Amino acid sequence: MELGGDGGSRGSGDQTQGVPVPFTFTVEYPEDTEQNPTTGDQPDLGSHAGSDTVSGDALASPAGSIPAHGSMGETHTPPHTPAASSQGSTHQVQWATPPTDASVDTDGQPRRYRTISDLLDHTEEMTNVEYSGLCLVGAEAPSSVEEAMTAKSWREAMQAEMQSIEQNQTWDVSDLLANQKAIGLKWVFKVKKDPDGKVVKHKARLVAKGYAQVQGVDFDEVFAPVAKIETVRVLLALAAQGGWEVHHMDVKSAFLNGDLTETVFVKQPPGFIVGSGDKVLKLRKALYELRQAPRAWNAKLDRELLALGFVRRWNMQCIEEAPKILSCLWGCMSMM
Amino acid sequence: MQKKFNMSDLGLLSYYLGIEVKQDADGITLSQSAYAKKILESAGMWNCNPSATPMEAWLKLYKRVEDEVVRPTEYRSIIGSLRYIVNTRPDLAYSVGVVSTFMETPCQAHWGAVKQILRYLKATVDYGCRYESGAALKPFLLGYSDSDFAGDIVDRKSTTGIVYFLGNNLVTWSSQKQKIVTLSSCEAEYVAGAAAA
Repeated sequence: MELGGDGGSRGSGDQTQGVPVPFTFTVEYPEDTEQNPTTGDQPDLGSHAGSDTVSGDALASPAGSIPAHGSMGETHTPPHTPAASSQGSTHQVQWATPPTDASVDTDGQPRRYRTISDLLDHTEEMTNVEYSGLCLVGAEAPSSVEEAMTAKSWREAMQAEMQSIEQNQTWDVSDLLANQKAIGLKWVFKVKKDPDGKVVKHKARLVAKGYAQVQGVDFDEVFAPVAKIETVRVLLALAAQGGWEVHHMDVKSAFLNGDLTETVFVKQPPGFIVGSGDKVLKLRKALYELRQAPRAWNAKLDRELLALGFVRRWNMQCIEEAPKILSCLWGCMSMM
Repeated sequence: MQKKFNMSDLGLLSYYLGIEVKQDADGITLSQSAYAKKILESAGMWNCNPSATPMEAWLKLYKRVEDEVVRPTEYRSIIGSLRYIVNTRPDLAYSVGVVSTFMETPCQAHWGAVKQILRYLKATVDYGCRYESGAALKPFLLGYSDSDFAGDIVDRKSTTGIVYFLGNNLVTWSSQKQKIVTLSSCEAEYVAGAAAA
Protein backbone atom coordinates (compact mmCIF):
# COMPACT_ATOMS: atom_id res chain seq x y z
CA MET A 1 0.00 0.00 0.00
CA GLU A 2 2.69 2.36 0.99
CA LEU A 3 4.67 1.66 -2.14
CA GLY A 4 1.70 2.12 -4.39
CA GLY A 5 0.78 5.39 -2.79
CA ASP A 6 4.30 6.55 -3.18
CA GLY A 7 4.36 5.60 -6.81
CA GLY A 8 1.11 7.40 -7.32
CA SER A 9 2.38 10.71 -6.19
CA ARG A 10 5.59 10.30 -8.10
CA GLY A 11 3.76 9.27 -11.21
CA SER A 12 1.49 12.24 -11.13
CA GLY A 13 4.45 14.51 -10.70
CA ASP A 14 6.35 13.66 -13.81
CA GLN A 15 3.51 12.75 -16.07
CA THR A 16 1.24 15.12 -17.84
CA GLN A 17 -1.84 15.31 -15.80
CA GLY A 18 -4.48 12.77 -16.40
CA VAL A 19 -2.24 10.16 -17.98
CA PRO A 20 -1.85 7.28 -15.59
CA VAL A 21 1.15 5.04 -15.39
CA PRO A 22 1.17 1.42 -14.30
CA PHE A 23 1.51 0.78 -10.58
CA THR A 24 -0.21 3.93 -9.55
CA PHE A 25 -3.46 4.06 -7.74
CA THR A 26 -4.72 6.92 -9.78
CA VAL A 27 -6.00 4.96 -12.67
CA GLU A 28 -8.71 5.97 -15.00
CA TYR A 29 -11.64 3.88 -14.15
CA PRO A 30 -14.28 3.25 -16.76
CA GLU A 31 -17.51 2.27 -15.15
CA ASP A 32 -18.28 -0.45 -17.62
CA THR A 33 -15.27 -2.52 -16.68
CA GLU A 34 -15.77 -2.28 -12.99
CA GLN A 35 -16.51 -5.49 -11.23
CA ASN A 36 -19.01 -5.87 -8.52
CA PRO A 37 -17.06 -5.88 -5.29
CA THR A 38 -19.47 -8.27 -3.66
CA THR A 39 -18.48 -11.05 -6.02
CA GLY A 40 -15.10 -10.96 -4.41
CA ASP A 41 -13.10 -11.38 -7.58
CA GLN A 42 -11.59 -7.97 -7.68
CA PRO A 43 -8.40 -8.33 -9.66
CA ASP A 44 -5.12 -7.65 -7.92
CA LEU A 45 -3.61 -4.26 -8.06
CA GLY A 46 -1.05 -4.83 -10.76
CA SER A 47 -3.31 -6.24 -13.40
CA HIS A 48 -6.02 -3.82 -12.47
CA ALA A 49 -3.83 -0.86 -13.09
CA GLY A 50 -2.65 -2.32 -16.35
CA SER A 51 -6.05 -3.10 -17.77
CA ASP A 52 -7.44 0.24 -16.79
CA THR A 53 -4.61 2.00 -18.41
CA VAL A 54 -5.19 0.16 -21.61
CA SER A 55 -8.88 0.81 -21.65
CA GLY A 56 -8.55 4.37 -20.49
CA ASP A 57 -9.46 5.72 -23.88
CA ALA A 58 -12.92 4.36 -23.48
CA LEU A 59 -13.55 7.22 -21.15
CA ALA A 60 -13.37 9.62 -23.98
CA SER A 61 -16.83 8.49 -24.88
CA PRO A 62 -19.44 10.78 -23.40
CA ALA A 63 -22.05 10.13 -20.78
CA GLY A 64 -23.68 7.62 -23.01
CA SER A 65 -21.35 4.96 -21.69
CA ILE A 66 -23.36 4.49 -18.57
CA PRO A 67 -26.56 3.45 -20.28
CA ALA A 68 -24.46 1.38 -22.63
CA HIS A 69 -23.15 -0.79 -19.88
CA GLY A 70 -26.61 -1.37 -18.64
CA SER A 71 -27.58 -2.65 -22.02
CA MET A 72 -24.80 -5.22 -21.90
CA GLY A 73 -26.99 -7.23 -19.64
CA GLU A 74 -25.15 -6.56 -16.41
CA THR A 75 -27.43 -5.85 -13.57
CA HIS A 76 -25.12 -4.53 -10.93
CA THR A 77 -25.05 -0.89 -10.08
CA PRO A 78 -21.69 0.73 -9.61
CA PRO A 79 -21.16 1.01 -5.88
CA HIS A 80 -19.99 4.55 -6.09
CA THR A 81 -21.19 6.59 -8.96
CA PRO A 82 -19.13 9.68 -9.50
CA ALA A 83 -21.81 11.94 -8.19
CA ALA A 84 -22.30 9.91 -5.06
CA SER A 85 -18.72 9.87 -3.92
CA SER A 86 -17.59 13.30 -4.94
CA GLN A 87 -20.62 15.27 -3.95
CA GLY A 88 -22.47 13.03 -1.55
CA SER A 89 -19.67 12.68 0.97
CA THR A 90 -19.23 15.60 3.27
CA HIS A 91 -15.68 14.98 4.49
CA GLN A 92 -12.70 16.55 2.81
CA VAL A 93 -11.84 14.43 -0.21
CA GLN A 94 -8.21 13.56 -0.44
CA TRP A 95 -7.22 13.14 -4.06
CA ALA A 96 -4.61 10.69 -5.13
CA THR A 97 -4.08 12.95 -8.10
CA PRO A 98 -5.50 16.41 -8.11
CA PRO A 99 -8.34 16.63 -10.60
CA THR A 100 -7.77 18.64 -13.70
CA ASP A 101 -10.35 21.06 -14.91
CA ALA A 102 -11.54 18.62 -17.50
CA SER A 103 -12.42 16.04 -14.92
CA VAL A 104 -14.46 18.11 -12.57
CA ASP A 105 -17.64 16.59 -13.70
CA THR A 106 -20.71 18.38 -12.62
CA ASP A 107 -22.61 17.31 -15.67
CA GLY A 108 -22.97 13.64 -14.84
CA GLN A 109 -20.01 12.37 -16.85
CA PRO A 110 -18.00 9.55 -15.34
CA ARG A 111 -15.38 10.91 -13.07
CA ARG A 112 -11.91 10.22 -14.32
CA TYR A 113 -10.18 10.05 -10.96
CA ARG A 114 -10.74 8.07 -7.83
CA THR A 115 -10.00 9.08 -4.32
CA ILE A 116 -7.62 7.13 -2.16
CA SER A 117 -10.42 6.04 0.13
CA ASP A 118 -12.34 4.67 -2.86
CA LEU A 119 -9.39 2.58 -3.78
CA LEU A 120 -8.56 1.42 -0.31
CA ASP A 121 -12.11 0.28 0.20
CA HIS A 122 -12.00 -1.89 -2.86
CA THR A 123 -8.46 -3.10 -3.00
CA GLU A 124 -7.84 -6.45 -1.49
CA GLU A 125 -4.75 -6.92 0.52
CA MET A 126 -2.00 -8.42 -1.52
CA THR A 127 -0.29 -11.58 -0.48
CA ASN A 128 3.27 -11.27 0.66
CA VAL A 129 4.66 -12.77 -2.49
CA GLU A 130 3.21 -10.13 -4.73
CA TYR A 131 4.10 -7.40 -2.33
CA SER A 132 7.73 -8.37 -2.09
CA GLY A 133 7.86 -8.55 -5.84
CA LEU A 134 6.78 -4.96 -6.03
CA CYS A 135 9.14 -3.97 -3.27
CA LEU A 136 12.14 -5.07 -5.30
CA VAL A 137 11.75 -1.93 -7.32
CA GLY A 138 12.83 0.09 -4.34
CA ALA A 139 15.32 -2.31 -2.79
CA GLU A 140 18.54 -1.56 -4.58
CA ALA A 141 21.86 -0.74 -3.07
CA PRO A 142 22.49 2.90 -2.22
CA SER A 143 25.15 4.68 -4.20
CA SER A 144 26.66 6.77 -1.43
CA VAL A 145 27.28 6.68 2.28
CA GLU A 146 25.04 9.67 2.82
CA GLU A 147 22.21 7.84 1.12
CA ALA A 148 22.89 4.66 3.10
CA MET A 149 22.92 6.54 6.38
CA THR A 150 19.31 7.50 5.85
CA ALA A 151 18.10 3.91 5.83
CA LYS A 152 17.98 1.84 9.00
CA SER A 153 18.87 -1.44 7.31
CA TRP A 154 22.02 -0.06 5.76
CA ARG A 155 23.06 1.73 8.94
CA GLU A 156 22.80 -1.54 10.80
CA ALA A 157 24.78 -3.35 8.13
CA MET A 158 27.55 -0.76 8.33
CA GLN A 159 27.62 -0.95 12.10
CA ALA A 160 27.88 -4.74 11.94
CA GLU A 161 30.86 -4.43 9.61
CA MET A 162 32.52 -1.85 11.83
CA GLN A 163 31.96 -4.11 14.80
CA SER A 164 33.66 -7.07 13.18
CA ILE A 165 36.54 -4.82 12.17
CA GLU A 166 36.92 -3.58 15.72
CA GLN A 167 36.70 -7.09 17.15
CA ASN A 168 39.56 -8.03 14.93
CA GLN A 169 41.59 -5.08 16.17
CA THR A 170 42.22 -4.22 12.60
CA TRP A 171 43.75 -0.80 13.13
CA ASP A 172 45.25 1.70 15.52
CA VAL A 173 44.58 5.40 15.29
CA SER A 174 47.81 7.20 14.60
CA ASP A 175 49.37 10.20 12.93
CA LEU A 176 50.57 10.06 9.41
CA LEU A 177 54.31 10.01 8.94
CA ALA A 178 55.72 12.74 6.79
CA ASN A 179 56.62 10.54 3.86
CA GLN A 180 53.58 8.29 4.00
CA LYS A 181 50.33 8.47 2.16
CA ALA A 182 47.05 7.18 3.50
CA ILE A 183 44.80 5.11 1.28
CA GLY A 184 41.14 6.00 1.06
CA LEU A 185 38.35 3.73 2.21
CA LYS A 186 34.91 3.34 0.79
CA TRP A 187 31.75 1.44 1.48
CA VAL A 188 30.33 -1.14 -0.86
CA PHE A 189 26.67 -2.02 -0.47
CA LYS A 190 25.00 -5.13 -1.69
CA VAL A 191 21.49 -6.53 -1.43
CA LYS A 192 21.60 -10.28 -1.02
CA LYS A 193 18.65 -12.11 -2.50
CA ASP A 194 17.60 -15.71 -2.37
CA PRO A 195 16.83 -17.62 -5.58
CA ASP A 196 13.23 -16.37 -5.53
CA GLY A 197 14.43 -12.79 -5.56
CA LYS A 198 13.47 -12.03 -1.97
CA VAL A 199 15.79 -9.76 -0.08
CA VAL A 200 17.53 -11.79 2.59
CA LYS A 201 20.31 -9.51 3.71
CA HIS A 202 21.67 -6.03 3.46
CA LYS A 203 25.41 -6.21 3.35
CA ALA A 204 27.87 -3.41 3.78
CA ARG A 205 31.56 -3.97 3.27
CA LEU A 206 34.31 -1.50 4.06
CA VAL A 207 36.96 -1.72 1.38
CA ALA A 208 40.27 -0.02 0.80
CA LYS A 209 40.99 1.70 -2.45
CA GLY A 210 43.63 -0.83 -3.30
CA TYR A 211 44.17 0.66 -6.72
CA ALA A 212 45.95 3.57 -5.06
CA GLN A 213 48.59 1.33 -3.55
CA VAL A 214 52.10 1.49 -4.91
CA GLN A 215 54.13 -1.66 -5.28
CA GLY A 216 57.21 -1.63 -3.07
CA VAL A 217 55.67 0.97 -0.78
CA ASP A 218 52.32 -0.42 0.29
CA PHE A 219 52.71 -4.01 -0.78
CA ASP A 220 55.28 -6.43 -2.11
CA GLU A 221 53.93 -9.84 -3.03
CA VAL A 222 50.33 -10.30 -4.02
CA PHE A 223 50.18 -13.87 -5.26
CA ALA A 224 47.74 -16.08 -3.44
CA PRO A 225 46.86 -19.62 -4.45
CA VAL A 226 43.26 -20.45 -5.15
CA ALA A 227 41.71 -23.85 -5.57
CA LYS A 228 41.26 -25.14 -9.09
CA ILE A 229 37.87 -26.53 -9.95
CA GLU A 230 39.60 -29.80 -10.85
CA THR A 231 40.98 -29.97 -7.33
CA VAL A 232 37.52 -29.53 -5.92
CA ARG A 233 36.20 -32.31 -8.13
CA VAL A 234 39.01 -34.69 -7.20
CA LEU A 235 38.30 -33.95 -3.58
CA LEU A 236 34.62 -34.68 -3.98
CA ALA A 237 35.36 -37.82 -5.96
CA LEU A 238 37.67 -39.02 -3.20
CA ALA A 239 35.03 -38.24 -0.62
CA ALA A 240 32.44 -40.18 -2.59
CA GLN A 241 34.84 -43.06 -3.05
CA GLY A 242 35.46 -43.33 0.63
CA GLY A 243 31.83 -42.70 1.56
CA TRP A 244 32.76 -39.61 3.53
CA GLU A 245 30.65 -36.62 4.24
CA VAL A 246 31.69 -33.23 2.97
CA HIS A 247 30.94 -30.30 5.21
CA HIS A 248 30.75 -26.72 4.17
CA MET A 249 32.19 -24.03 6.36
CA ASP A 250 32.63 -20.37 5.94
CA VAL A 251 34.94 -17.94 7.66
CA LYS A 252 33.12 -14.68 8.14
CA SER A 253 34.93 -11.66 6.76
CA ALA A 254 37.83 -13.95 5.97
CA PHE A 255 40.19 -11.31 4.67
CA LEU A 256 39.93 -9.30 7.84
CA ASN A 257 41.89 -12.07 9.56
CA GLY A 258 45.02 -11.70 7.51
CA ASP A 259 48.02 -10.16 9.28
CA LEU A 260 49.75 -7.41 7.40
CA THR A 261 53.50 -7.46 7.16
CA GLU A 262 53.72 -4.10 5.46
CA THR A 263 52.93 -0.77 7.07
CA VAL A 264 49.78 0.60 5.51
CA PHE A 265 47.91 3.72 6.54
CA VAL A 266 44.30 4.27 5.61
CA LYS A 267 42.04 7.25 6.01
CA GLN A 268 39.12 7.04 8.36
CA PRO A 269 36.04 5.33 6.98
CA PRO A 270 33.40 7.67 5.63
CA GLY A 271 30.51 7.99 8.01
CA PHE A 272 32.52 6.77 10.99
CA ILE A 273 35.09 9.51 11.48
CA VAL A 274 36.38 9.78 15.02
CA GLY A 275 37.59 13.12 16.33
CA SER A 276 38.69 15.86 14.03
CA GLY A 277 39.33 13.54 11.13
CA ASP A 278 42.99 14.42 10.58
CA LYS A 279 44.08 11.20 12.24
CA VAL A 280 44.72 8.18 10.08
CA LEU A 281 44.53 4.49 10.83
CA LYS A 282 47.53 2.22 10.84
CA LEU A 283 46.46 -1.23 9.74
CA ARG A 284 47.43 -4.34 11.63
CA LYS A 285 45.13 -6.66 9.73
CA ALA A 286 44.11 -6.68 6.13
CA LEU A 287 41.07 -4.99 4.71
CA TYR A 288 39.08 -6.08 1.69
CA GLU A 289 40.40 -4.84 -1.64
CA LEU A 290 43.88 -4.27 -0.30
CA ARG A 291 46.20 -5.69 -2.90
CA GLN A 292 47.85 -8.05 -0.47
CA ALA A 293 44.68 -9.08 1.36
CA PRO A 294 44.22 -12.51 -0.28
CA ARG A 295 47.86 -13.34 0.28
CA ALA A 296 47.75 -12.26 3.90
CA TRP A 297 44.65 -14.36 4.53
CA ASN A 298 46.15 -17.37 2.83
CA ALA A 299 49.34 -17.12 4.86
CA LYS A 300 47.36 -16.88 8.05
CA LEU A 301 45.09 -19.79 7.24
CA ASP A 302 48.07 -21.84 6.14
CA ARG A 303 49.80 -21.24 9.44
CA GLU A 304 46.74 -22.05 11.50
CA LEU A 305 45.97 -25.25 9.63
CA LEU A 306 49.53 -26.49 9.88
CA ALA A 307 49.40 -25.79 13.59
CA LEU A 308 46.28 -27.92 13.82
CA GLY A 309 48.11 -30.89 12.36
CA PHE A 310 47.08 -30.65 8.74
CA VAL A 311 49.67 -31.70 6.21
CA ARG A 312 50.17 -29.75 3.05
CA ARG A 313 50.47 -31.78 -0.14
CA TRP A 314 53.58 -30.84 -1.98
CA ASN A 315 51.83 -30.18 -5.26
CA MET A 316 48.52 -28.83 -4.13
CA GLN A 317 48.63 -25.65 -2.17
CA CYS A 318 44.97 -25.55 -1.41
CA ILE A 319 44.37 -29.01 -0.05
CA GLU A 320 45.41 -29.73 3.43
CA GLU A 321 44.78 -33.12 4.81
CA ALA A 322 44.59 -34.45 8.32
CA PRO A 323 43.82 -38.01 9.23
CA LYS A 324 40.13 -38.71 8.74
CA ILE A 325 39.35 -35.11 7.97
CA LEU A 326 39.24 -33.83 4.48
CA SER A 327 39.13 -30.13 4.21
CA CYS A 328 39.41 -27.77 1.33
CA LEU A 329 39.98 -24.13 1.80
CA TRP A 330 36.75 -22.78 0.50
CA GLY A 331 37.50 -19.51 2.16
CA CYS A 332 40.29 -18.65 -0.26
CA MET A 333 37.89 -18.34 -3.07
CA SER A 334 34.72 -16.83 -1.74
CA MET A 335 35.95 -13.32 -1.48
CA MET A 336 32.71 -11.46 -1.16
CA MET B 1 39.68 -23.54 13.96
CA GLN B 2 36.46 -22.08 15.20
CA LYS B 3 38.36 -20.63 18.09
CA LYS B 4 40.77 -18.85 15.81
CA PHE B 5 38.31 -17.46 13.33
CA ASN B 6 34.76 -16.29 13.38
CA MET B 7 33.27 -19.14 11.42
CA SER B 8 29.91 -20.53 10.49
CA ASP B 9 29.32 -24.19 9.81
CA LEU B 10 26.92 -24.47 6.91
CA GLY B 11 26.35 -28.16 7.45
CA LEU B 12 26.74 -30.69 4.69
CA LEU B 13 28.03 -29.14 1.50
CA SER B 14 25.06 -28.53 -0.75
CA TYR B 15 25.75 -25.50 -2.90
CA TYR B 16 29.16 -24.20 -3.79
CA LEU B 17 30.21 -21.71 -6.48
CA GLY B 18 26.97 -22.28 -8.36
CA ILE B 19 27.40 -26.04 -8.25
CA GLU B 20 24.70 -28.04 -6.57
CA VAL B 21 26.11 -30.90 -4.54
CA LYS B 22 23.88 -33.78 -3.53
CA GLN B 23 25.28 -36.21 -1.02
CA ASP B 24 23.66 -39.54 -0.37
CA ALA B 25 24.63 -42.97 0.83
CA ASP B 26 25.98 -44.11 -2.53
CA GLY B 27 27.93 -41.09 -3.55
CA ILE B 28 27.94 -37.46 -4.52
CA THR B 29 26.26 -35.78 -7.47
CA LEU B 30 27.35 -32.45 -8.88
CA SER B 31 25.10 -30.47 -11.16
CA GLN B 32 24.52 -26.92 -12.28
CA SER B 33 20.89 -27.12 -13.28
CA ALA B 34 19.95 -23.78 -11.74
CA TYR B 35 22.82 -22.17 -13.58
CA ALA B 36 21.82 -23.89 -16.81
CA LYS B 37 18.31 -22.56 -16.46
CA LYS B 38 19.66 -19.10 -15.87
CA ILE B 39 21.72 -19.27 -19.06
CA LEU B 40 18.72 -20.44 -21.06
CA GLU B 41 16.59 -17.66 -19.69
CA SER B 42 19.10 -14.92 -20.25
CA ALA B 43 19.71 -16.15 -23.78
CA GLY B 44 15.98 -16.17 -24.45
CA MET B 45 16.10 -19.87 -25.22
CA TRP B 46 13.95 -21.07 -22.36
CA ASN B 47 11.15 -22.21 -24.65
CA CYS B 48 13.34 -23.65 -27.38
CA ASN B 49 12.92 -27.11 -28.80
CA PRO B 50 15.27 -29.49 -27.05
CA SER B 51 17.91 -31.20 -29.09
CA ALA B 52 19.53 -34.57 -28.57
CA THR B 53 23.04 -33.55 -29.57
CA PRO B 54 25.15 -30.55 -28.66
CA MET B 55 26.53 -30.17 -32.16
CA GLU B 56 25.92 -31.62 -35.58
CA ALA B 57 28.27 -34.37 -36.57
CA TRP B 58 30.95 -33.29 -39.04
CA LEU B 59 30.01 -29.68 -38.64
CA LYS B 60 32.88 -27.56 -39.92
CA LEU B 61 32.87 -24.00 -38.73
CA TYR B 62 35.41 -21.49 -39.85
CA LYS B 63 36.00 -17.79 -39.57
CA ARG B 64 34.09 -16.02 -42.29
CA VAL B 65 35.70 -12.76 -43.23
CA GLU B 66 33.04 -11.78 -45.72
CA ASP B 67 30.04 -12.40 -43.44
CA GLU B 68 28.48 -9.84 -41.19
CA VAL B 69 29.40 -10.01 -37.51
CA VAL B 70 26.27 -10.62 -35.45
CA ARG B 71 25.90 -9.36 -31.87
CA PRO B 72 29.45 -10.15 -30.73
CA THR B 73 28.99 -8.99 -27.14
CA GLU B 74 26.03 -11.23 -26.52
CA TYR B 75 27.83 -14.13 -28.17
CA ARG B 76 30.83 -13.74 -25.88
CA SER B 77 28.60 -13.47 -22.85
CA ILE B 78 26.80 -16.71 -23.65
CA ILE B 79 30.05 -18.51 -24.36
CA GLY B 80 31.42 -17.29 -21.05
CA SER B 81 28.44 -18.76 -19.24
CA LEU B 82 28.70 -22.00 -21.17
CA ARG B 83 32.37 -22.35 -20.33
CA TYR B 84 31.53 -22.24 -16.66
CA ILE B 85 28.91 -24.93 -17.03
CA VAL B 86 31.52 -27.24 -18.55
CA ASN B 87 32.77 -27.55 -14.94
CA THR B 88 30.19 -30.26 -14.40
CA ARG B 89 29.39 -31.12 -18.01
CA PRO B 90 32.15 -32.97 -19.88
CA ASP B 91 29.69 -33.71 -22.67
CA LEU B 92 29.70 -30.04 -23.61
CA ALA B 93 33.45 -29.58 -23.52
CA TYR B 94 34.14 -30.09 -27.22
CA SER B 95 31.23 -28.13 -28.66
CA VAL B 96 31.76 -25.20 -26.34
CA GLY B 97 35.45 -25.26 -27.19
CA VAL B 98 34.67 -25.10 -30.88
CA VAL B 99 32.28 -22.16 -30.68
CA SER B 100 34.68 -20.32 -28.36
CA THR B 101 37.18 -20.02 -31.17
CA PHE B 102 34.87 -17.62 -32.99
CA MET B 103 34.38 -15.17 -30.18
CA GLU B 104 36.22 -12.47 -32.09
CA THR B 105 33.92 -12.36 -35.11
CA PRO B 106 30.79 -14.43 -34.55
CA CYS B 107 28.63 -14.82 -37.65
CA GLN B 108 25.21 -16.32 -38.19
CA ALA B 109 26.65 -19.81 -38.70
CA HIS B 110 28.40 -19.66 -35.33
CA TRP B 111 25.24 -18.47 -33.67
CA GLY B 112 23.52 -21.52 -35.09
CA ALA B 113 26.05 -23.76 -33.37
CA VAL B 114 25.63 -21.93 -30.08
CA LYS B 115 21.88 -22.27 -30.31
CA GLN B 116 22.26 -25.98 -30.90
CA ILE B 117 24.28 -26.22 -27.69
CA LEU B 118 21.63 -24.27 -25.83
CA ARG B 119 18.92 -26.54 -27.20
CA TYR B 120 20.90 -29.55 -26.06
CA LEU B 121 21.35 -27.88 -22.70
CA LYS B 122 17.60 -27.43 -22.50
CA ALA B 123 17.15 -31.17 -22.99
CA THR B 124 19.76 -31.99 -20.37
CA VAL B 125 19.59 -29.29 -17.70
CA ASP B 126 19.78 -31.79 -14.89
CA TYR B 127 22.87 -33.59 -16.11
CA GLY B 128 25.95 -33.47 -13.96
CA CYS B 129 28.76 -35.54 -12.52
CA ARG B 130 27.99 -38.54 -10.40
CA TYR B 131 30.65 -39.81 -8.04
CA GLU B 132 29.97 -43.31 -6.79
CA SER B 133 31.35 -44.69 -3.61
CA GLY B 134 33.48 -47.79 -3.83
CA ALA B 135 35.08 -48.17 -0.49
CA ALA B 136 36.47 -51.57 -1.34
CA LEU B 137 38.42 -50.28 -4.30
CA LYS B 138 41.64 -48.48 -3.89
CA PRO B 139 41.25 -45.41 -6.08
CA PHE B 140 43.55 -45.45 -9.05
CA LEU B 141 44.06 -42.76 -11.60
CA LEU B 142 43.31 -43.65 -15.20
CA GLY B 143 43.65 -41.27 -18.07
CA TYR B 144 42.57 -41.44 -21.71
CA SER B 145 43.53 -39.21 -24.55
CA ASP B 146 42.35 -38.90 -28.10
CA SER B 147 42.78 -36.59 -30.99
CA ASP B 148 41.16 -35.84 -34.27
CA PHE B 149 43.31 -34.91 -37.20
CA ALA B 150 43.23 -31.47 -38.71
CA GLY B 151 39.79 -30.81 -37.28
CA ASP B 152 40.08 -27.15 -38.10
CA ILE B 153 39.92 -26.91 -41.86
CA VAL B 154 41.52 -23.48 -41.93
CA ASP B 155 44.67 -23.83 -39.86
CA ARG B 156 44.87 -27.64 -40.02
CA LYS B 157 45.35 -27.97 -36.29
CA SER B 158 43.94 -30.96 -34.43
CA THR B 159 41.94 -31.09 -31.24
CA THR B 160 42.98 -33.06 -28.16
CA GLY B 161 40.50 -34.70 -25.86
CA ILE B 162 41.55 -35.85 -22.41
CA VAL B 163 39.64 -37.50 -19.59
CA TYR B 164 40.91 -38.73 -16.26
CA PHE B 165 39.14 -41.14 -13.98
CA LEU B 166 39.83 -41.61 -10.31
CA GLY B 167 38.56 -45.09 -9.67
CA ASN B 168 35.20 -45.12 -11.42
CA ASN B 169 34.72 -41.41 -11.19
CA LEU B 170 35.46 -38.91 -13.90
CA VAL B 171 37.35 -36.09 -12.27
CA THR B 172 38.99 -34.04 -14.95
CA TRP B 173 38.59 -33.51 -18.66
CA SER B 174 39.65 -31.14 -21.32
CA SER B 175 39.11 -30.51 -24.98
CA GLN B 176 41.73 -28.29 -26.48
CA LYS B 177 43.02 -27.37 -29.86
CA GLN B 178 46.64 -28.34 -30.26
CA LYS B 179 49.22 -25.63 -30.45
CA ILE B 180 51.09 -27.09 -33.38
CA VAL B 181 50.23 -28.36 -36.80
CA THR B 182 50.74 -32.09 -37.02
CA LEU B 183 51.39 -33.91 -40.25
CA SER B 184 49.70 -37.19 -39.47
CA SER B 185 46.96 -38.55 -37.27
CA CYS B 186 49.60 -40.57 -35.46
CA GLU B 187 51.54 -37.45 -34.63
CA ALA B 188 48.34 -35.76 -33.46
CA GLU B 189 47.69 -38.67 -31.14
CA TYR B 190 51.19 -38.39 -29.74
CA VAL B 191 50.64 -34.72 -29.05
CA ALA B 192 47.38 -35.55 -27.27
CA GLY B 193 49.02 -38.27 -25.23
CA ALA B 194 51.84 -35.97 -24.23
CA ALA B 195 49.33 -33.29 -23.23
CA ALA B 196 47.46 -35.81 -21.11
CA ALA B 197 50.61 -36.88 -19.34
